Amino acid sequence: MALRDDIAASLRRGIADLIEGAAGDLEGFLSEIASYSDTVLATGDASLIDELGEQVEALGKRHRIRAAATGWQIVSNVVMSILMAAAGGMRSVGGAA
Amino acid sequence: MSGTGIGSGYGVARSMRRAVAAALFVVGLLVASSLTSCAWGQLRSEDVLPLAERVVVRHDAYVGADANLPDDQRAEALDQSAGVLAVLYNQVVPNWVAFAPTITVVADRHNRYVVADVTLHPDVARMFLNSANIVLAMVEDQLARSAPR
Repeated sequence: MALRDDIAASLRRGIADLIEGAAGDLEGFLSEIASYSDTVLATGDASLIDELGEQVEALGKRHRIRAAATGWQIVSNVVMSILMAAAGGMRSVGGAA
Repeated sequence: MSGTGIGSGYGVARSMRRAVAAALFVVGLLVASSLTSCAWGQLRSEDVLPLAERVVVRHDAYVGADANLPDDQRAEALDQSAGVLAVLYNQVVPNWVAFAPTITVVADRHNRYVVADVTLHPDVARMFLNSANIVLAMVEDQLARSAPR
């Protein structure tokens, strides 16, 4: 029982921390989780508590996937800009020659 | 005079080598970009499987217990949910555009049953709805990325 209380407390802390750093619809999902997490944890039903944990985990993965996609987009844009600049430079050198 | 000609020929060869090297560099970048874009920001089956599995299992229980559902519709609903699990179990990175309609139908049906289930505690019902909605939101992210810009 003490262990379950510890897990419940750390889950609550985790959700609160996540909400603090979240934005947009991620915050919406997490707020929703926070609103029912106490009831679900109080049931003591292992399956329900597992599902709660899986929701938080899935949202964490979604957040990482989105961040990676955005990061990739930035890298891709920088590479394309460099290529375009290089192509422009080569054309101007070719024109000068 | 002949020295100028040799020098000019050498210059052309050098320019061609540079052009080939630049072309190879660009091709390399394109190949690398397509490979890394597969790995970065790509939703995999394993990312949604735990929640999707719960949604499908609950969906099947509701469909199986629904006495008002005609047999052909029950069979179709169970086929759809079996299709969802088959894709998630067997494809590391599904074709999300093709897969989205099936998982959306199953998740929507799951949500309708949850909303109609008066035996559930309202908070538990909201959690069940959130599970399906989180799965759908993850799939929608991929659809948004796949959409032509």
